[in-house]
Amino acid sequence: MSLIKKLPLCCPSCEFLLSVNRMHCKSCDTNVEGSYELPLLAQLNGEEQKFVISFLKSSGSIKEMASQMGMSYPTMRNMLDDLIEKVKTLENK
Amino acid sequence: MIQKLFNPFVQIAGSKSLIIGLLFLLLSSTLAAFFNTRFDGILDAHYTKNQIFYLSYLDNLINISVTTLIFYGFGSLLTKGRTRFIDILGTSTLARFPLFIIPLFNIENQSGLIGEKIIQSISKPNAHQLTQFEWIYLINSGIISLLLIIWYIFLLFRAYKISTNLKGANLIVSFILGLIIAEIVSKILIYQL
Repeated sequence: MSLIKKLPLCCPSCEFLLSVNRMHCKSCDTNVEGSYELPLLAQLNGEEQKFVISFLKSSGSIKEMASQMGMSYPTMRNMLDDLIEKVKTLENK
Repeated sequence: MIQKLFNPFVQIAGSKSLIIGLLFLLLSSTLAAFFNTRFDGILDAHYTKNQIFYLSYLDNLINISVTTLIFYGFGSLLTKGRTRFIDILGTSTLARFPLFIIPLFNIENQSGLIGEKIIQSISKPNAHQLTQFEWIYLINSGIISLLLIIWYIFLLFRAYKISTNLKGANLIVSFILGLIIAEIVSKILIYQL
């Protein structure tokens, strides 16, 4: 069983949003260091990112997403509304 | 399975839940007509004598209409028109499904006769004492009926929550208010029949 590593978004000590400090090229072993903010979509958790991708793939049709996932329309719409609220909060941070 | 019984609306809502809910409503009204039961209020079920057949259907029609209109009103007001009528109608109709069991406690007028005996024993203490079986039947059917109504209230809450996506105090206060208003209005309308 392979371990699925989750990208940590918040500091385990103070829970502040983490930023990127170092990037690595697997091909030539180059390291780039600096301070980069995570893009908005990367600040969402894994489930929320999956939701956004699924939303894009179904051309923004909540009805289609609901039938694919076996959920009701209002359940899907509520998930989308909650995600919109979260994105707005992240944008204002 | 537990989720399907206590929160079916995660998977079923809108027209699908309306169709299933209407089938249960038809079953519940037919059983109520056969076994002399009145759903005379959204949270009420009482046993009567010589039930007029069509009243059982009218009772449930009023209960569904009043519940839907009141919760749709609250939902629309608090979500600024984002609540869909079909979601409230479908989910609140399906939420009534546990209540179809209640008329079954009055097969052969069993509960009605026990009720009559109790009334008679109050006016004439020596006449018609309840047998042990009747006491057991009365207590068990009473507890089960109460649990079924609590189950209905819980389902109605889930229905309202999922249809409006309200949270916190807005959700709880508007639900309790809606429930009280719907009970009063449905009772008044049913007593006009």
